[in-house]
Amino acid sequence: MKIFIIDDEEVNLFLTQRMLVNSGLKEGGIHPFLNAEEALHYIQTGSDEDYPDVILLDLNMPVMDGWELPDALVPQWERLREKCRIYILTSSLP
Amino acid sequence: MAKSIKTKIEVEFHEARFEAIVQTASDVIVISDENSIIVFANKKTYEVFGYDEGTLIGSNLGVLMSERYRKGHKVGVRRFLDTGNPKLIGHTVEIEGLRKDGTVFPLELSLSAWKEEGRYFFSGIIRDVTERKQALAETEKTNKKLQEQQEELEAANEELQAALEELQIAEEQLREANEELEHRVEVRTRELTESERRVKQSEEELRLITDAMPVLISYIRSDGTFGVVNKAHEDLFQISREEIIGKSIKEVIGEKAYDNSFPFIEKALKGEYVESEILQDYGAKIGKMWRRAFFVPRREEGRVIGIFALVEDITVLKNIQLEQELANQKLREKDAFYQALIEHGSDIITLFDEELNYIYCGGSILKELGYKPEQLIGDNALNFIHPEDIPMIKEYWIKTLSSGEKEINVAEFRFKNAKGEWRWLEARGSNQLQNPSVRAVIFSSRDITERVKSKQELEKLSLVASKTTNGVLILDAEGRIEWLNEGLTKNTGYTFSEVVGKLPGSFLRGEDTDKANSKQLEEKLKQGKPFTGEVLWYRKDGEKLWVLLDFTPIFNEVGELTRYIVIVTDISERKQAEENQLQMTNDLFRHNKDLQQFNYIVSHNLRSPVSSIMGLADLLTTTEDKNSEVFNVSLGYLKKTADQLDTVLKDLNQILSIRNKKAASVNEKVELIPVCQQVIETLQEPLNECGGKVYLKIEEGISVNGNKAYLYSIFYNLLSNSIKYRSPDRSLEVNIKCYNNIDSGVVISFSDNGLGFDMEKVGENIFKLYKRFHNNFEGKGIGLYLVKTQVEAMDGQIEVNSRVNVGTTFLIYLK
Repeated sequence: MKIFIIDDEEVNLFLTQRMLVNSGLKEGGIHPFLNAEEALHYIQTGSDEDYPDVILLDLNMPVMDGWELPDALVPQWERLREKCRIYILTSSLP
Repeated sequence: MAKSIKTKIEVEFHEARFEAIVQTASDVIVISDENSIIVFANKKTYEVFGYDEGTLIGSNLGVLMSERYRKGHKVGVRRFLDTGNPKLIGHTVEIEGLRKDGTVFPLELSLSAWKEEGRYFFSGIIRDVTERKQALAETEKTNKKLQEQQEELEAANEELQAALEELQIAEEQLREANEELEHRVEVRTRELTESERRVKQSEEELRLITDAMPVLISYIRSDGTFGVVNKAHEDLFQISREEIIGKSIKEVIGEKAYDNSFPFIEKALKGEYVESEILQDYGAKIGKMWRRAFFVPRREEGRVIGIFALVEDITVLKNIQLEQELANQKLREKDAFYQALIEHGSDIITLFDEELNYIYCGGSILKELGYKPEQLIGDNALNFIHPEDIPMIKEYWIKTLSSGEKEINVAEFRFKNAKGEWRWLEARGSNQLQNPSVRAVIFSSRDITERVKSKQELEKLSLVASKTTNGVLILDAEGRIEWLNEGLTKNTGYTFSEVVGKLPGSFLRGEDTDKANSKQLEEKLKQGKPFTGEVLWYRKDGEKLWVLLDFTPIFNEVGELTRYIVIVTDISERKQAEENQLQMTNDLFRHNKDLQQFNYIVSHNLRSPVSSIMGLADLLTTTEDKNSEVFNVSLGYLKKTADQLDTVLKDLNQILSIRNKKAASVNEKVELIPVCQQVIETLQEPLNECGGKVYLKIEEGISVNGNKAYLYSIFYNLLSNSIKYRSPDRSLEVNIKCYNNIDSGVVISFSDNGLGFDMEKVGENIFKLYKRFHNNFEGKGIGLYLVKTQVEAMDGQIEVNSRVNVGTTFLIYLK
């Protein structure tokens, strides 16, 4: 199981990561990213095996926000959709 | 030893060279021994004879030649070996070669023989002459063909010669016959010339006569072409006689003229004598003229073969005739016109004698007043005039009788009609008693009852209207101003004489007047019903004037719309209040939206660290090993998040204090140079660290009305942003300029050469709370929000312009 966490808040990134580990997931399968561009680059340049099973995505981020990332992933989507699910993890919504 | 090696090398060199020459030779080279066994064949051999390279070595030479040469070859070789008689050696012969595929071809062979170690060797140099042979054969064939052709030609030539000779004989005979003929023609011509001369003479005489006549004389052939024409044709149509003759009439006189005269020509061609008088049209160049024409058919053996035509110009005659007719006609029409005028016009024409008795009465009196003329003739006019008006009429009568023929006297009076009603008449009298053809006083009267009544009514209305404080406008049925009261002239600034007769809309409407609304008012006006409407007018001095118009239509007894009374109420104040209210609503709406946004963001930014703190606390309590790395990291984050929360709360305090102060903003004169210097001093350390430089270009003593603390905060935030978001590729440069602008007050321009941002993507969001646009920076997203809030709190404005990797410029406008 490969999980991406994308959040520009370091604390949030750490907390989410700990929660996942505490709930029994392997630490090695969790990939934290401080911004969406790095995660995008990882997917774009990697092979199918590098694709995550789950993306936990924050919405309010500088430069590329959480709404823009799925748009940027459209070229990979045909293959990505087979296994990947994106979950929004945000406190932006009232 | 050395020599032998040298020789060997030379020999080998020679052999190698020989080999190269032989192999690349364009001729076939074959070497055979005494038994005709091939010992060498060069590349060309295999190419020409079609064998695989190398396969011919060891074969008998006979395989390379056709059957019939093989035996001769054998015999030849044997003889040479036996006798040493070289029959062919050293010569070139032509024989037939045989290819591997069995085809035979001609070749040229030159043979040579030499003796080596007691044995003879033969070498043959062979050239494929197939193409040469073929070319030769082709040439022979062509030659043969040419020869045949030549023979044919020669035969044909002989025939031609014979025919030519026959022709010569015939020609001779013809010449003789011709001479005979020529002689006869000569005699006959001489006879003819004499009669021709005589005809010509009489023709010339005739021509002289016809040419001298100012009429068109012509002979027209039955096919419609001109046979003879006189000089008048040349003058009229401007073409020579020779050109006219032979041409069709249509072509000469033009299509229109031809169409006009065609019926007459046709008649004449049928044998009738035709006389016509028409207005002929010769087209644009010559024009129209009246023509009288005579067409005389010419017969031969009972058949019409042409027409003699004589065409006369009668334009002048005709014009005189027409003018006379026209004058007569006009005279008749004029008479009829006057008659009709008197009988049927709406004006009543009457003639009186000196005592004011009716002598004549026009028919229109029946329609206008209900009397038949005979009822009045002989009666005295005073019997019908209103008693109140009689003294005035008597006076008027005396005046009229004493005035001259040309003078006209006008009187308005009441006259009893046949029904006994009083009608107002306007009479214009002219004394024609001295005029021998009239001998009467002529009156032309018209009924002006409506006009008089209308005038009286208007006077009455005006009297009422002038007393009211409201504006009152009286419009005629077409909407033109008849009258307006003093209240309205005061309010609009226009005088009575400036506006009377005009449409109110034509000068009272202005730029901001709603066009659709004005159109609606005009539509309603046409319907003749009472209505009200609001409209924006402009006073004469250009000031706006909102008015409420209350239209009341006025009708006469027969139900016709005669005018409108318009009550004009000034509603400018009410309109102003309405506008203010709308402005206020808009402002409130905008503030409300701002607050909503603020609340939303604040709640998010408070909730976010709080939830982090809760998560971290949870993590800390559940981690058993208090010395583990996770525990330590969590603790570190807990402290950091708590600090962050504190910062957010501080920020909020600051923002709220600005918002609250906004209404009662502290206004002081703040000099800009000291404030800027103070900020630069505070940030000197980070500036030094990154090697940044700040250039100030501020006019001496320039100051703004505002709050010193805000201005400090503005410069502080902008400069610390410039330091934070500087480019790693170049050292930071900041330019701060302040100057006075007549239109917009003080302008502060703050620009750096930092990272910049994408204007299209970010735009106005740059000033929004908690918006950040760069990764990996410790930005809080509050600095620019504060700057904007503070600028606006001082009634100023801020603009931003930025380019990625070039820099950012802020423009701040203050009073």
